[in-house]
Amino acid sequence: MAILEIHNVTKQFGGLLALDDVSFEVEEGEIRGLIGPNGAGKSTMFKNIAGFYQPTKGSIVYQGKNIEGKKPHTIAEMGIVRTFQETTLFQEMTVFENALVGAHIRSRSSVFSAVLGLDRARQQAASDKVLEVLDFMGLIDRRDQLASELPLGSQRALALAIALVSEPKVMLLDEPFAGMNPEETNHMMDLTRKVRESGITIVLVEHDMKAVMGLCHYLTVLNFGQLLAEGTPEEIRNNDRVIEAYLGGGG
Amino acid sequence: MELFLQSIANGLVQGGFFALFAVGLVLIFGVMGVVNFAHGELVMAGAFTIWVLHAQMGLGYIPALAVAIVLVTAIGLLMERLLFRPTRSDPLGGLICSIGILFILQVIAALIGGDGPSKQVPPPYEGTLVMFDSLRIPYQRVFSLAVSVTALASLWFFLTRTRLGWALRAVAMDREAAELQGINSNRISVIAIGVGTALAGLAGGLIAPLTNINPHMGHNVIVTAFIVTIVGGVGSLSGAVLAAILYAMFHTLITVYFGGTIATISGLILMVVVLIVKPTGLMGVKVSE
Amino acid sequence: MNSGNGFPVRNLALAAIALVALLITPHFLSFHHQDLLIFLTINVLAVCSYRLVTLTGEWSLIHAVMMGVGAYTVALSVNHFELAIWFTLPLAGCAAGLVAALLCFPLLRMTQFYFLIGSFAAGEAIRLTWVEFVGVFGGTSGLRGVEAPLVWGIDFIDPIPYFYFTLCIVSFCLLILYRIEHSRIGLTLHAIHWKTPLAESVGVDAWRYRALAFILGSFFVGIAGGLKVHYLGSVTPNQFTVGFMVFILIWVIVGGYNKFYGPIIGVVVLTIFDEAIRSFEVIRPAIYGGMLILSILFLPLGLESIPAKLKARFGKDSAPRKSPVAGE
Repeated sequence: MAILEIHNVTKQFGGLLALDDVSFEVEEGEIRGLIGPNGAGKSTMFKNIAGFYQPTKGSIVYQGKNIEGKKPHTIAEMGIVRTFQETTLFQEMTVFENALVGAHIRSRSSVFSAVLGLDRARQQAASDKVLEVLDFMGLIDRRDQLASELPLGSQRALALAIALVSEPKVMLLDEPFAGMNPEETNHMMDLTRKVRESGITIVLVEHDMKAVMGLCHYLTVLNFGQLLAEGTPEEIRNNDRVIEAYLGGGG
Repeated sequence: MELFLQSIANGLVQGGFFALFAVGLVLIFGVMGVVNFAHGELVMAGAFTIWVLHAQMGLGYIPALAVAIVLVTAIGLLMERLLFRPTRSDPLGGLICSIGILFILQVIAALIGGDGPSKQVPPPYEGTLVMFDSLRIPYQRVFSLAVSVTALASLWFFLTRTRLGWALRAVAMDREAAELQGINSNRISVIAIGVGTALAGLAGGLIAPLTNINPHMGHNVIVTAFIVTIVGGVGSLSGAVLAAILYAMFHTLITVYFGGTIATISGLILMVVVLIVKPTGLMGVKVSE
Repeated sequence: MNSGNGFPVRNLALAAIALVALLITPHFLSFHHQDLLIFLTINVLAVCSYRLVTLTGEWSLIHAVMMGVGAYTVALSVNHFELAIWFTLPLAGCAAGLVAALLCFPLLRMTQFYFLIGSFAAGEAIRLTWVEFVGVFGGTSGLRGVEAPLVWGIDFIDPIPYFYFTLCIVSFCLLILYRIEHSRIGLTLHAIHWKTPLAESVGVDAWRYRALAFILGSFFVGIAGGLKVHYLGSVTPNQFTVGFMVFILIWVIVGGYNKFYGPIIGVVVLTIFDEAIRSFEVIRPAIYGGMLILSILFLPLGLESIPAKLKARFGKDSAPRKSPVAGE
């Protein structure tokens, strides 16, 4: 069952064609890798799916509903959450508070109930959920630390945690392994598998081939904004055109 | 009909002034990313200089005008060095600093001119041009319009036909990219504010014989400049010029029939409407993401 | 949001002393200074409500005019309908909040510079309608003859009873503002300020929260405007010009705006300072201008940051660093 369908998505910025008639489908419960040389349009595709850009042409269907053109927060409410390329956290807040922002969808309150303290039960439930996720990600001991003080691996885990707290069905991970050493990479791979096992479909943009090959069930390859190939990691590893694209395009 | 044509003619002259200081504001914002809230006071400083040198001390109008331009440019360069450059990463801070300068300039003007009624500068060019039997344009205004047009044309030439002008536009479009190409953006900022404030000083000098001069005259200037900038499209110089002319005529006509306050209210509403309907203004580029 | 601390006893004791001092002070002041104390209290509300607006990182220039909206609402409702203060004050807040709500649609499509200019323009336009429509708003002379409120037999034309009244109302409003900031709503506002895309990616509708902050901030400053006109008895457009807006900015910037009490420090210190330089009437604006500049260049975090800086320099580093959201 395809949870996410990309139909002929084209994205144009003035004269620049970032995405050119790209179509693919993501099955529920898989870990899909979206790979390709630099500038292939992978992040752009994420931004289109998550609502930060609107496709110039084409449509995006999530659980049978069209989502292209919707605002990011609406799409998040529907269950698609993205992470960001450079570490994006609320630096001035603690780990706990960072994750608490993720609980927004499930536990927001009106001004009245907030001021009068009527929403205590809901806030407590949110709090519990946050602690549960932090525990899941191995961050529970750091919960009162400021996000700016975390080591890289923990920062990435926190970014995942924020997204997880919102209880998404699909997570778009944008280069979560960038800049990691082998040990951190392994840890992150485990975390990613854990997340997927909890029932979340993952689409992964990544350059780290070890992570990609080790994690993904299926790969979608972009080059110069176009769909180049699709297949299992094995098939793609041996695909001449893909190899050529990476060697020629300076991936 | 006569009234209408006369208003259009007056509006055109006013449009010249509006264009001068709106363009200056756009130049500074475009290149340096900071809103110079004191821009109106710079115009006021130009006008005050004319009053002091020409009306009070008897210096010729043209020399006084030259001094006004130089003086206001000097103030602008000082502002760039002391205020805008340190606050480069914090445009809001730069804006607040310019508000600080706004007050300082107002106080200096009040100290120089005293608290009394507004000052007048008798027009150095007397006589009236009469066109079509009924259209009367004082030579002073013709002079102002001619100078405004010349200044704006020179600016256009500078920006489109010289390398320095190209560099300025490059920095306005994308500072980092321009720096990567070897353009010294600090130097460009200095030039941008130099040109921008020089235009303000010129506008002040040209307005001086045509209006009441007082320390608070900058307020109307900045309000007008904002309206014109937004309607024309932030970041677009040609938009600012076009909007300046159109708005000046709009404002003059409404003033004639309904009074100045209503005219300004209309202008402000127009600006908010533009912000809603077409935030890029007449000719601006899309400010997305 | 806090992992459960209450206020330390030492803070409570200090607060109690401050409260007592505040309550007995007016009896020792001259008439003029009593006036000043009342305006100071009102301005505290103006400044704290402004801080709510700026929590999302957007600085509006319409706040002073919103205070005027509240003031004019009270003047009109007292003069035409003789409403009692219990009605006029909430009405003032609602009027300002309503204007803010309407302005959200044009203004909140923009951010940063555009929002600043747009809010400035809208504010000017509103102010100019007070000037222009003399029949309704009294033009440049404004509205007069707003009778002092008579509550429970106490005639509030006297400054001291009015001071206590104002203190109560303002304290109550500050309590609400404080609660808002330390609730989930406050957290969300901070999140929008620091990384809007991240907040949006987990479902936060940034526009809605900016609107909320803007409307609530306007509501409370509208009440402040109402308090002002009930005391002064008159309202004119000149009370709410850019000049006053700049005062609000100065109080907030010089005082600091990372903590809830930063702007309060700003308005208190600068009001006292203002009194001290009263004799320098002509150059006063320049002094403020200079202060703004010096503040931005040399003390960007405001006066509120001085205790922390001193502690870092001279004191021992005892407590772990608290995040600004969980802090004061």
